[in-house]
Amino acid sequence: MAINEPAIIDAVSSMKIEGNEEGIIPAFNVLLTLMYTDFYTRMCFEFEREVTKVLPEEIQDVGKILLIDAAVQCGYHTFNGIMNSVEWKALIEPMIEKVDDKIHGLTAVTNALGWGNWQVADLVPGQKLVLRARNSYESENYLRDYGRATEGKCYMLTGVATSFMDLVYGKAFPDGMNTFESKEVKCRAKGDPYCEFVSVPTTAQN
Amino acid sequence: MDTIRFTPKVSFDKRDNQLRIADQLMCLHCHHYNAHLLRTAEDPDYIDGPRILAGAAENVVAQQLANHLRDFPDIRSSAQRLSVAADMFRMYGFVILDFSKADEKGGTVTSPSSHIALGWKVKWGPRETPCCHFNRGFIAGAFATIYGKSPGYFKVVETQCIAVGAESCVYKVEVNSNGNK
Ligand SMILES: [Zn+2]
Ligand SMILES: [Zn+2]
Repeated sequence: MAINEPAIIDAVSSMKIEGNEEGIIPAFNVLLTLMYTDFYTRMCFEFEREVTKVLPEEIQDVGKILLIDAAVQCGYHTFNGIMNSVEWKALIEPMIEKVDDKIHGLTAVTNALGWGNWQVADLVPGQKLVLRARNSYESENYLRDYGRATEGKCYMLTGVATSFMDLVYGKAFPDGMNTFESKEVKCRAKGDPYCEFVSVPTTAQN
Repeated sequence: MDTIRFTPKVSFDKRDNQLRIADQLMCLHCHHYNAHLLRTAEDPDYIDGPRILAGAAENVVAQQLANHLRDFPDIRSSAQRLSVAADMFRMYGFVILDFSKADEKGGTVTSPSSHIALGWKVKWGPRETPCCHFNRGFIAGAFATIYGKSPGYFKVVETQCIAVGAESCVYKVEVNSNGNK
């Protein structure tokens, strides 16, 4: 494989990513923020709890579905921006030999964003992606704030896994969103040793 | 008064891929995610999404600013501390806050530009109600720490918002009448 992940993480994590004098972080074709992981997890898990309190049992998953969808939407637009950015073209594109390398390049970039450490465990081109996260902030913060969960809690990474596959193997942007779907089959928050995300073509899980 | 920069302790752990700033884990996310989370939280009218967003921000900002001021005990006066909080807001890409017309009794905070409002406008155009709930929480949390109060002491209402068409986002800061002092 041509992607040199440590070099990418080194390069991206040592970029001075912080607001300019106007308070804007324009990088990778998007407007970035340095945000608190605690903000995201408190916001998302409180939202889910409040929604779940009100909704009838048969649609209890709505909060989770909405949060995963927000992450798919985010990932699809953000990583499309990233793959078309000058930073990607300078740093990562020269390492890409075949289309599958883009998945490894995207994974490497996200490992520099402070989301924790995740790796590609398996990739069947165009068919299946398995990603494993050793310490996602969603699972770690859930365990700390709410205790042991009964199901996966890493909604952001679940959605982002989908967006990787959509962008690399789906129709060209902007027509490929939700070509794939992802499930978190293992999660640290429910006691597994790591979180594991499996993405397959949308029809395959139905 | 001169600007006092926010110069926190920053580290990136290359084994865990974790970014720590003033003892808080931070991560990079962009306007797409922030705008989608805002819309997701606001959408169901049977819950108070804005309160969830502002509350989550208030607590963590109060905590991180307290950590930073503990590490830099020479930053003593409220004016200096407000300057640090404004610079923190800038450094994180939330854009600009002007604290010059508010103090521990309250007042007005102005944001000539706001990441949250800009992100919304870029994606979906203008809207009918103010949307910078995160910024309200940031202001309330910063004021709580700067004036030695607990989160919840200050109430912050956004009276004008760029996403609604105003020139600036304007926040009214008051001491919360519900107590929690
Ligand atoms: Zn997980
Ligand atoms: Zn606003």
